[in-house]
Order: sequence, then C-alpha cells, then structure tokens
Amino acid sequence: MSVEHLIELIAADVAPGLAREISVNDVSWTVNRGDWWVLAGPPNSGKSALLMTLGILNPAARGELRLFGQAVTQSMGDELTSIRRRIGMLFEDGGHLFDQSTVLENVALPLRYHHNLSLADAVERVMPFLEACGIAAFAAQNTRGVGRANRRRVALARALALQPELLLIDNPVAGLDPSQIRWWRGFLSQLNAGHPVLENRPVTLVLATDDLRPWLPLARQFALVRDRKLQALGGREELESKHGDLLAELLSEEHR
Amino acid sequence: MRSGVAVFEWATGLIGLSLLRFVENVRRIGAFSLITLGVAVTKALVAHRVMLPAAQQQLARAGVRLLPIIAFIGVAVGLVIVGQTLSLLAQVGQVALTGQLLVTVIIREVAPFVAAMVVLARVGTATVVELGTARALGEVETLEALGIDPIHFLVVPRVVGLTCSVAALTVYLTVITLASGWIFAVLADLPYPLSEYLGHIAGALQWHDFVLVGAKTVTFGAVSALTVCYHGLARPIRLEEVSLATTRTVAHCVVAFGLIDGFFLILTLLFL
Repeated sequence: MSVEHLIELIAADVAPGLAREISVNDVSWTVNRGDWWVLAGPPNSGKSALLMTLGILNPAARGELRLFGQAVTQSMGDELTSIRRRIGMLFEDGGHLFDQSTVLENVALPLRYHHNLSLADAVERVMPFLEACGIAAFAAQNTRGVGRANRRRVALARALALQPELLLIDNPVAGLDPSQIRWWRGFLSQLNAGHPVLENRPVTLVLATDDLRPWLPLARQFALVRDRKLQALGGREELESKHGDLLAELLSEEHR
Repeated sequence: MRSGVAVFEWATGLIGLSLLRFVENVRRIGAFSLITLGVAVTKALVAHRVMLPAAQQQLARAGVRLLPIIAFIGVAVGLVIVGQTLSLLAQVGQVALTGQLLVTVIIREVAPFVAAMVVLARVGTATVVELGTARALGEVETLEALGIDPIHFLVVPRVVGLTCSVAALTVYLTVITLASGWIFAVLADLPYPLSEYLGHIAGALQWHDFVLVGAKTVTFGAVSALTVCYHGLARPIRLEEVSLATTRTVAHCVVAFGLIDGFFLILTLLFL
C-alpha cells in the first residue's frame, strides 16, 4: 500500500507574516496521511510561522509547498479554497473567534458558507461537533463570555465542522489546567485514531508546542525547531537516541 | 535669498510628496475596488443564505438606524436653509425661482453630500475600527483558514449596505428638508401654498437630475465604503494603528467626496 503525502515542504524558508527575517531556514519535511507530528521548540522559534505556511496563510519566502499532492501557489483561486477546506487550523490565543457571534454561529459559519445553509439548517449538523468538544451547553452564548479553555474548544469544533483531513494546531494547551490538558490529549488521540464525530476517519495532526511533555507519550513523529533549523525529524526512539541532548533541553523546566 | 530658495524647495517638495502619496493611495484603493468588484461578480451566488443576511444587517446599520439623525439634520437644513431662502425670495417677489434654487442646491448638492458625510461619520469610522481590529486580531486569517474569502464575506456586504444606504438616505433627507422648509414658510405666514411650492420644484426637476443624483449618491456610497474597507482590511495593521487608519479614512473620503462633486459639476456644466 502506497503512503500518501499530505504535506511536502521542500527547501523552504519561513518568515512570520509581517517580518522580513527568516525564522526557520531550509525546511524539507514530509507529512503522511495518518501521522501525528509534534513540532516543538522554544517560544518565538518560528513554529507558528511554519504552521501558517502549512495552512497556506503565510507563503514561504523560498522553496516549494505541496499539499495533498498539489503544488501550492497563491494564485490558485478556487483550487486554493478547496485545499484550505481540507485543512483545519487552530490558532493560538483563544482560537481567533468572531466575538460578535454566538458559539453556535462561530462553529456553523464555515459549514453555512461552503454549503449555503441557513443557521437553522446548519444547527443539526453542527451540534454533534459541539457535543464532541463538550461545549454544547454554551451554544447560544456569545463567545465573549466564554472562558479561555472553552474558546479553544469552540475553535476546535469550528475547525472540525468542515471534516478536515489534516489538522494544524498551535499550542492548544498553553496555560490550561491539568484536567483541560487531559481532555485535549484524549480528544486529539481519538481524532488521530478515528473519532465517531468524523465517522471514525483518522485525522492527520501537526501540533506546535512550547512544552513537549504532554505530547511525548502520544505523538508518533517529532520535529524540533532550534536555531532557525528543523533539527530533528522522526519517531520517539530516533529522537531519544540521536537528539537526546536537545530533547532533554526541551523537556527541562528552564526551557519554558 | 538663499533661505527663500530653500523655502520654495521645501514647499514644492512637500506638494510633490503629497501628490505622489495621493496618486499612490488612489492606485491602491482603485486596485482594491477592482478586486472587490471581481469577487462581487464571480461570487454573486455563492453562499447567498449567509451573504444576504449580512448585507441586510449592513443596510440596517448604515441605513435604518441612521433615520433619526438624518431626520433631525433634514429638519435643521429645511428650517435654516430652505425656510430662509423661501422667506428671502418672497420678500423680493421671486418665489418662482424657488424650484430651480432648491433643485440645484438641496437636491443635487447638499442632500447627497450630507447623507454621505453622516454615513461616513456614524458607520464608516466604526467600520474601519471593526475591520482594523478584526485584521489585527487575526480574524481575517481565520476566515482564510476556513476557506472563506474575506473580501466576499467582509467587504461586499459593507459596500452593498453603505452604497444603498447613502442613496436611500439622500432621498429621505431631501424629502424631509423640503417638507420642513415649506412648514417654516407656513409658520412664517408666507403666502406660498403647498401645491405651488411642489409645482415649482417639479417644474425645475428634469430627468437628468434623477440620473445625476442617483449616480452621485451611488458613487459617494461605493467610494466611501471601499475606502473604509481598504483602510480597515487591505493592509496589515496593528491594534495601535487602528485609530490612525480611522482618521486617514475620514480625510481620504472627504477629499474623494470633493473630487466626485467636482467631477459631477463639470459633467453638468459641460453637457446639461
């Protein structure tokens, strides 16, 4: 059985949107269907910029990006939109919700837009995602009034509503309490293995984090960013044997 | 002598720089307008169950909610300008000029400009803040990540709402201004029956006045909406830059209104 490459990043230089300085140099990286990658590194090391590049929100300064086997350029128009619809993106800092809307309206928006549904028609389709993320009780509440932990879940439900094949997640548990971290670990594991809300179809995950510890036992592949380089790529055993010192540094308390 | 040359160089440099900035802004807003037009045409039928309520919401915000303030301004303009004009014309026995004067001043010039300025002040500035904040907080990136075209979702409804609102509010303002002007005349015991007043206005109105006012209000509305959306959305912006973008928008819109007014005035003088 052939392995399907969802992401192929070839010799890419990545810079944050407004900055000219390259934050990660010469990245060559392949993500296959069903993988669960954790992209770890110190704060401000360029992980978010790299995720934004993978989500076609921040073009690489150099190099090539192929998603789902298709070379990505900014001039693709509708093709670009159809690729984006196959990718779920979770931003850091509360998930960038639309605070003039309710939780339900936030989660329903992509579904309504792409399937031309009224809000009433979208409710039935959206509720399973709210229930799966444990936020159904807040459905009618304006997102301004929703706590930080639940805002992230709203963003997750919204990203899942389009049933993505690939989920890019930026620092989902930063600043959350242990019970919330447990929930995210469990839910993402289920998503990667196949969650009923997505008809048991496994979702490929790429998760960026400052703190590797919650994800070390769960993720299957690891990429470590340091000194503007993607320094280690591979499974946990490879990581521990070949890059033990770097791993130890990223797991240490002083690192954070 | 030397200082005189330096001042001249400084002044010409300043004028040249302002001119270059102006041309660059026109070019950018023009490009943004063309992109918006392209999106509006190609995606006219996309997600209409989402886009129609969004456009209606903008119409309510820029149109319906401004009815009270427009009514107030209409009464004020009617009493101050129309009423006094009627009174003056009656004193000199020239009430027959009323129609021509009101059509030229109120219907063609004052009402479209005032309606556009009120919409800009009340809704345009709020829209720059709203879009600028959305851009600064990453909502635009979120829309893109969800496969939603920000121009289609954020700009098109606002352009439709503001354009239709300026056109509709101009009609509303005109009616209230003319009505309150006549009421002032009645209160001032001027011998000017309503039928004669309306007859003078109707007699002075020609078909091209409707075309001119329609074209002018739509242009005012569309240009202000596109300028507002451009400043709020088209360029990367930080939260602390939003207020600056708002004042810049007002300045650009006022200049644009002046230029549009001048353009239509030249058209009128040349062809009518």
